[in-house]
Amino acid sequence: MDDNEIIALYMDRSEAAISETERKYGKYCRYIAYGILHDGEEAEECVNDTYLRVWNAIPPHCPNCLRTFIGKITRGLALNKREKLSAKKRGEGQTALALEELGECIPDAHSADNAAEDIVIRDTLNRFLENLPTESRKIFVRRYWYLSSIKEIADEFGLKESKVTVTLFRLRAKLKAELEKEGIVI
Amino acid sequence: MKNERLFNIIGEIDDKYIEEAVPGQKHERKRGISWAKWGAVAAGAAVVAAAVVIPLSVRNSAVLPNDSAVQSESINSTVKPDNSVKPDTDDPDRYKDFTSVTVQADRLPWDWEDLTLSAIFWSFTFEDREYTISNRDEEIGEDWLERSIGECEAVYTPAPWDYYGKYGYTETLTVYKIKGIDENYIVAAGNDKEKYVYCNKGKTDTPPDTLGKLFEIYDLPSLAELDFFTEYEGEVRLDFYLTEQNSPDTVIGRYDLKNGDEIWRILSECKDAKLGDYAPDKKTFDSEHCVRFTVFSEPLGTAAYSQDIFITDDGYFWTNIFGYYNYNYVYDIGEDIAQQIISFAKSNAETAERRRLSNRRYVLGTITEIGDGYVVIDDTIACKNPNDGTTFKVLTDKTVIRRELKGITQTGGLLYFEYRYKADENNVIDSATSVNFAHIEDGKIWVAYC
Repeated sequence: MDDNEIIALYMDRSEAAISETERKYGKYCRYIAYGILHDGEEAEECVNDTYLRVWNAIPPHCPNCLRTFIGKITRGLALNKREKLSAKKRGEGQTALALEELGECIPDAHSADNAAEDIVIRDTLNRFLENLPTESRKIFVRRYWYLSSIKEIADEFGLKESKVTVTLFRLRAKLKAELEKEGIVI
Repeated sequence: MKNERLFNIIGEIDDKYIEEAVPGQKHERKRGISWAKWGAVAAGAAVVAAAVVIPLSVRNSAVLPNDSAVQSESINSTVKPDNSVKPDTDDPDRYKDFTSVTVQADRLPWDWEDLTLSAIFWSFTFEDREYTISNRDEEIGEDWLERSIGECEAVYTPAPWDYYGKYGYTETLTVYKIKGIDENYIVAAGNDKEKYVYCNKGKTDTPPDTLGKLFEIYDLPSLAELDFFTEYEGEVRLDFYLTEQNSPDTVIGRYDLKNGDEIWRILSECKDAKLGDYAPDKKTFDSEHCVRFTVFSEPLGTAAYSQDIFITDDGYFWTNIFGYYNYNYVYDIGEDIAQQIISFAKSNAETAERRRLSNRRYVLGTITEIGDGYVVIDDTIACKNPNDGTTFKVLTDKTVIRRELKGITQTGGLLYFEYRYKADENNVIDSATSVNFAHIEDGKIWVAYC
């Protein structure tokens, strides 16, 4: 079923919308959720929460790209859920590693006063990604949006793990430089 | 927690990057020439034009701040020049052709005070009936309001997250009966400044079982003027967008229609016409010949952009004017009646010069004055004959206009307004429904849609 047909099911408030979403994007959502939570049961619960959120969002929302719309909700829910996990559990999986890596790039404080700065960071990030070669961009997004492991990225892109590690190191340095140009400094 | 800030912000990157990196795809590795760069060079002037026509961050009313349509500023295959669509001012030949450009630009959530009533309250309960917004983008005019029938307490309940921190915000709205519509089905609601159409989906989702009952609920002749139709031959697909792009070869002709009321009279006599045997997943009409009336109806929530009434020669009346995605309003009027309607339409038709895409008027001009609640524009630059150039005063106090023009302090820019009602004798336009930025590049006018 194509995305437009699935969206139509949501619009018509047909419960088949959920089953079709599960059929088409369940695996994708689980991938995202598990990458953050590193726990099967927690990930499954997160995916179920995602479907409820999507059900409540459409309508009135009518996403242009259903997959990323759902994926973003899953990622957000998984991150929220992660905060509630024990410190030990938070330390597992790729998320903790990815967080450490990104910590080089910007200061950590987040408050209402930084909301405007967050927008600058987001815009800078999008420009940064736009100007990257495709492969580098994919690697960056796989690592820091999808929380894929270095090994998985290396296998999928046909690269050595060391190559992926070095690529990410260089990309983080480049991103940091871009942010500093915008006045975002550590 | 340390380091989570950038991590969270990464969650908001443009959708295209997320799509591009979906796990499990094949990744081709190219060496040498960057094809992306060559593509951008080829787009050339279009890229420059798009970058210039969007001088400000483009905003959009958003209940969800991370709308999946957010993209970085770029113009690519979404450029859609369409010179068959001519300006629809009083004189359709007044303006030069211009190119409408669909640009995907960064969207920032509106500030709370710039949200329309329809964005805040997309449903409410009135007399134990739940009403849901019918058209969030367009208000209903005062002329359509028959009388106030009470008040309701509307509550802001955002989903999936409360971006504005206003969960539970309430406002008392006045509810109105709309002329020609049973208030159990569709009403208008709002405050002094804005009023929108809301429908009771519990009623409107399910069509009444006969056409006669439909006419009791809706005074269709007063709600939907039949003055334009397209004739098709061949397979006609019922599709989301209901456009001829799905089946261009099936179009026989497009016509302006006189005396469309006669068709409503014929249909109103089919009181016993029952719901047709139509399955929701059916996508194509069985008949090989039909006419499609293009309808604009403010009270039915289709003020600016059309919806359709089909009459098929095998005897069906079908319409989605009660819900764009609602395919259920199909009535078996019989072949004789269908043929009668089609024959009448064709014998009262004049070939139309162009497709009917919108019933909006529009004006395109250079800003010469910015005032409190208005701008003055001069459309000389857009006119085929510069001597026809005129200044218009466009009122900008409506939320959807005001918020787009926030921060504009300098004259000289080019604006494109769509509006409903003819300018008055002083060339004042008080019914603007939207505004877009425009630009002239190499003698061509580009109007940017986001």
